[in-house]
Amino acid sequence: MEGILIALVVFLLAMDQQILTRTLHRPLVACTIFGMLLSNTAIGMAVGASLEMTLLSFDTARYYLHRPGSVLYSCFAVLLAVKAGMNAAEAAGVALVFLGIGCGIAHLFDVGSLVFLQQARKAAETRDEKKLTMANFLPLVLRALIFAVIAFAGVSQAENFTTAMETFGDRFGWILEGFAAAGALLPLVGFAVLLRNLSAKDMPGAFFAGFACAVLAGSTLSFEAAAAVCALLAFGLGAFAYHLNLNETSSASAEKTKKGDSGKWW
Amino acid sequence: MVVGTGKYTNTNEAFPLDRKTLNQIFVRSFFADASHNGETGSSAGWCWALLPGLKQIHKNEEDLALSMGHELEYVSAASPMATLAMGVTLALEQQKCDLETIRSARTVASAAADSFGTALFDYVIVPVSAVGCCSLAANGNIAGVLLYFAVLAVLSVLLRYVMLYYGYSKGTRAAESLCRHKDALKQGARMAGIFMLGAMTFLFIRGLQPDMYLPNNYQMVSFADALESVLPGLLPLGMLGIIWHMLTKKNRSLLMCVLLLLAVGMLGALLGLFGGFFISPLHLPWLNL
Repeated sequence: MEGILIALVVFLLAMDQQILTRTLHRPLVACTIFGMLLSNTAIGMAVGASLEMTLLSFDTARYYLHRPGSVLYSCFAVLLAVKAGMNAAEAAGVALVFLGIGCGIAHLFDVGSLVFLQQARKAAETRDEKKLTMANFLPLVLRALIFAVIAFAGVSQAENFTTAMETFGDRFGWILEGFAAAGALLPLVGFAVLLRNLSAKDMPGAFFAGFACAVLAGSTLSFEAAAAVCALLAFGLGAFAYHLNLNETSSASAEKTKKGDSGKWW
Repeated sequence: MVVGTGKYTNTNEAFPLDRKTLNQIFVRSFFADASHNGETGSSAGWCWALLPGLKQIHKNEEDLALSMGHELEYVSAASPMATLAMGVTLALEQQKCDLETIRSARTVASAAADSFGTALFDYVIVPVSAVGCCSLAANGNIAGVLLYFAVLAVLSVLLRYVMLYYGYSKGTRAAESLCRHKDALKQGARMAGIFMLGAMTFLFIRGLQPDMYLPNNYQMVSFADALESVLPGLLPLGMLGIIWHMLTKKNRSLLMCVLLLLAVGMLGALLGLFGGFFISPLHLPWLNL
């Protein structure tokens, strides 16, 4: 019964990582809920506070890569603290393997969800809302289900399961890392498609200017701040190009009217 | 024809969206990132969230299909502020602007909103509320957890709601005056969009850095630093060049591009090029350094 309850909560929290307010899956909240389920709220809260600080101490890039694994991490850290009697800091360290496993599964789905993207494209062609809804929610449910199954499998023997996962990570973790690396590179396909559809061939300068600005801004600012700065620059550049085109058009039409022939050709 | 490319048949401005439809989009925006995928980010959820508005704007079925198709291109809707970009996109759709104008504006607006929203939450709201709430929780006070949840949840809901209406009203006002010169707007928007894509190529592929060390004159040199000294962001730029070449010059399918990147990721992980949680099972010289 305990296993089913924990698996159900993991299922719901794993979905919260991507939908709604994305607040419940935060370690502080998630660990407290797991603590309550294991009848030890105080330990749950202490582990949650420790995990929250661990994740916040990661640098931004790592934080983003590893954030999807935080539900499994929270679940097993609390299980280890309550069932194996570890203190909060020790549990946070030992359960770290689940951050990697959860992250690997999330990135596996970054690649696997492309099947559903294809389904969404077909739904767009046929204006089929039901199919689009399925394409949107099915990967979410499947991913959460895998998280729930892992949690269910490890509830009764958390310590042994953690050791088994570490062995699995040593042998096959590189596959999950491969999916993580591929998942991190995949947006490039989306960017290339956008560039093609924007007919970027005649404006390569704008692309390289954007890249250079991002490099300069990214060297001193956080990546988010750099992206916001680049967006403002893009806005300014777009507005400048708009006014330039507007002036050219109006001066060309004024020229035509002045000559008198091309303006009234009929 | 590629899904989402072409021109709208009916280019007459549509009626403004009513409050009921906007509220429906607001509720759906909570699920916009449900099917996050590597290639197009949150596109399927984004399209699903905008669908009530798109249906009201495009009465012509072909136009609706076209609109749904191009909304499935890369977009990021993970942050609560993504609704700002949704509002702007809907305003441009309502004016029946060129697809290139809409996709450019969407790219810039979504990248800006997502970055700003993420920075606001992850650098300001989360750390500030976490510091106080974690110390309360660590002492066994449940109020810390409840306060933490409430602050984040309430701000997230409020931002979504306000930004959707703000983006739509401001976007509509701007689009009404700008769309009188559609060609100039298209050129300006394209330039902004392409510029932003250049920036995103460097900024959004930031998580992946070669993580290996090479011996050089009795000292270890980071391969990432060596690459950075040539040109920062060389890896994503080079990979984008290859994908672009495959798509436009060699006319390869998207699947081929995805498979290539998957192969690069797997090979890189096997050779331990990218570091990470798990190490490669191969006993390669740079892994033992």
